[in-house]
Amino acid sequence: MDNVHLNEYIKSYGDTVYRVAYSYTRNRADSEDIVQDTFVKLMKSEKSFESNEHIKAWLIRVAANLAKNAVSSVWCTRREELSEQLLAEEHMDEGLSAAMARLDGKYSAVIYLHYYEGYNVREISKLLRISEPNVKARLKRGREKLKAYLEE
Amino acid sequence: MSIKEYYDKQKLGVSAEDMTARVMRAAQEQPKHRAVRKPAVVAAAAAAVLVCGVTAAATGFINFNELFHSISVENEIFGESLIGCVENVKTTISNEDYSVALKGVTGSPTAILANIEIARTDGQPINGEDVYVNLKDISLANYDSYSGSGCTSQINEQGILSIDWDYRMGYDEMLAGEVMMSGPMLINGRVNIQNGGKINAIDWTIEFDYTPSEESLKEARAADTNKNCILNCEISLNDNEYFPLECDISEIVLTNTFGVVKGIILDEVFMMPSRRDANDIRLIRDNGTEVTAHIMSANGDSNGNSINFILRYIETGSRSDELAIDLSDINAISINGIVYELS
Repeated sequence: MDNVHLNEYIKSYGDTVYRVAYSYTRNRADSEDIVQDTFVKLMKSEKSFESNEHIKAWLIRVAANLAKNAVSSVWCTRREELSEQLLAEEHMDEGLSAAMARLDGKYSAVIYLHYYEGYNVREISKLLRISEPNVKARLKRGREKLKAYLEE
Repeated sequence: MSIKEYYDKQKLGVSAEDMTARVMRAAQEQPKHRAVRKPAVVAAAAAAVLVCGVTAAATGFINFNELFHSISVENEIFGESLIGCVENVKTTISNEDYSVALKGVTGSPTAILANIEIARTDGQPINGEDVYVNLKDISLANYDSYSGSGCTSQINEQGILSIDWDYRMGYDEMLAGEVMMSGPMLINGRVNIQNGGKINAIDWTIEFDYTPSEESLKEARAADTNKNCILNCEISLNDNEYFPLECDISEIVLTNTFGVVKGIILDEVFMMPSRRDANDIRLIRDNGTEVTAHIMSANGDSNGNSINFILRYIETGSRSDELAIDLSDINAISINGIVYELS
């Protein structure tokens, strides 16, 4: 893959990959590293993609997997959540931003994919490797938790 | 601010051009995993195989148990599933002062943890050396979509560096609840060891083919279902209505109905039958307290007219077969004494 194509993919999907990563890491630097690693894997992949949607889904899955690993790995995780959270709160609406920052990654990821990216439950199930009922449950609980945080 | 507006403001903090440059640089800096294998380390590979207790000349499939010193598993059933067919073990290491060996495999249906040992070939311990970076990158030739890294390390009493290296299987390897594993599996990484001011960057690779038998796949599926016993604590009466139960379950009773019920078994709750073929099951919380569910019959699937429970004998660690409970003659569900009539 050459620079031009890579640049096009990053322009098209960089923010999506970043948001998926950020849903889990809550950390700008870690999320950018995950964006970088995700596109490195795209460059090295010999996978043939059927469409842009296929590429996008593949990137989301890779990013989610890398992000989950990063969060769970004691070696790979950098701890800057507090400052990141404060930074985010300075620039965004306090209520929703603060509530989203408190939301566990497993909820915020499905909320992002469903409400922003427009994926349905079945598609999210495949993207995140969780059962459809689990996706539904996470959406429901995520909504409930957000509502509770916003009402505090 | 709406959720959409919230995410609209979340953007990559660097330009696409800068990220492109970063990616290109990183791609050039990270050697492809196959590139770290060098002919000069064939001897080390053979030695490592001998350490594992089998002859290097072994051909065809060999038993997993014979290959590795130990197979330790968190999930006993999945561990048994790893006892499959292994062949073509190859190890490489970039520095002839060191050897690398695969000592054991543990894991779960979605993540395999390999125990790697790196030792000095002169028999001296690594104890006196400073292992200051223990991983660089891990990627799997055939699982690049989902590769990831995560490891812990320690130097054991013999002065050998022991690394538990983890990789996770992705969705494509789990089709319809089945765990599909096939070779080659490749585990690689980099360890930096500092000795007297000299820094040794050691690239190592261990590769083996694993072709699971039908039996091992079956057991892997069983292990997978065991894992899935710990899910969400909810009962759904239809697609739009949930009754979150969390850890408040004291009793679930399914009674005669023609309802649409989907059951999801539950966070912090194990399910187990009192007998393998029994209709009565008990729900057991993490804290050991028990609840009871009564099941009317056992067939069907989770298409809305039936409910699937995967059961497990906690005392023995063995599993039951998947038990599908037909709800076609059930008209009410009682949860904690509250009866929900089903339409």
